[in-house]
Amino acid sequence: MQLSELQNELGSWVRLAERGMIEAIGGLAGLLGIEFTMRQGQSRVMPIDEVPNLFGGPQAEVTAVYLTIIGEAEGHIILIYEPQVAFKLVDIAMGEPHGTTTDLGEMGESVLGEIGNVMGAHFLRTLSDDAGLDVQVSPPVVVTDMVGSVLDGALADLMIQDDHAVIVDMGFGTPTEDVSGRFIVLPNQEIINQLKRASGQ
Amino acid sequence: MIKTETVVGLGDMRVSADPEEEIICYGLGSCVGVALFDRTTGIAALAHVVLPDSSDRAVTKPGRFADTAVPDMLRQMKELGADLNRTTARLVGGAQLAGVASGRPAFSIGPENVEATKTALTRAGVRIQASDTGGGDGRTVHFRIGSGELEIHSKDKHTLL
Repeated sequence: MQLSELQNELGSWVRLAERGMIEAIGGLAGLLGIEFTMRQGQSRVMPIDEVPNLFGGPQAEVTAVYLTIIGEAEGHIILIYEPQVAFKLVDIAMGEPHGTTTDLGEMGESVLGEIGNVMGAHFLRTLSDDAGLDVQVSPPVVVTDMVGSVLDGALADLMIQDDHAVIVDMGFGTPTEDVSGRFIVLPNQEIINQLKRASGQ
Repeated sequence: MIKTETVVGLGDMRVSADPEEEIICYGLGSCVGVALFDRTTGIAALAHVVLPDSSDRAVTKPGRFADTAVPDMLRQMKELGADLNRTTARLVGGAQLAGVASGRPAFSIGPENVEATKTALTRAGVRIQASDTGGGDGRTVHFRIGSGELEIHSKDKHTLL
């Protein structure tokens, strides 16, 4: 698909993805029993090799929860936190005082993975309910590493199809910004094709 | 003395004979950093390979694919005066995200990139001098042309190749 066609398709996909993200962040708030606010989603079509620059550059260290969308349509969901923020999120989820978690370990990764699972499930339910897509989410992978290495498996997967990626990016956090993260969705081309079919275009 | 730092992004490559230059690939995950060096002339190349095979696609950035990066780096090195018979290769990267066995394409690309790069190097008759590939951690590579030294940083390690 050409860049101009991708841009034409972006609107319907972004509206759907943002509804899914709002549902997912609501799911996180329900899980943890605290309020989360969200930033207006940033959505764009951009050269794939520039995507790591959106997250502090390829060398920035992050903690990421990575899920793949599988089934009738495929893509990638990535939740990105600063490592220190990921520790706080684990403390909140475990009902521990701030500062208790100083290293994720198996338990911390499990907690972040479960949070990712809940958010992924809410997001995909919107895709399923609103667009009739039969999709599931893979088990989460939690990794603390450089942005470049966290993203490049997903970016390589997208690069097989095109030089450009559609990226939907929504920030979320507690009202005091004590905890904040980024919710990223990178759809494969097939999701956009499926949406076209679903809407009869 | 390093006076120039050149960052090689996803799918890019750099060929240089400047002994005061350092070429860097940040955050290699499943991607492979392919470093070629002719020690006698000091001509060096580093590519940030993303995918194993160009599969007959129109290639705008040869550094993106293993099967196009290797011949293009060698061609550019030869133009600068490198002796390809003395040129050796070092490979870095090709990791796989830990804990994933879903068989999704995104997760098998690392090992496929390593294998495709080895195949391309063998086809070109370039000897692989050393490699630091696989595992689950990302790597950053610093290639100092003057010394030929390849320094690799990952989460828990700091090694020289």
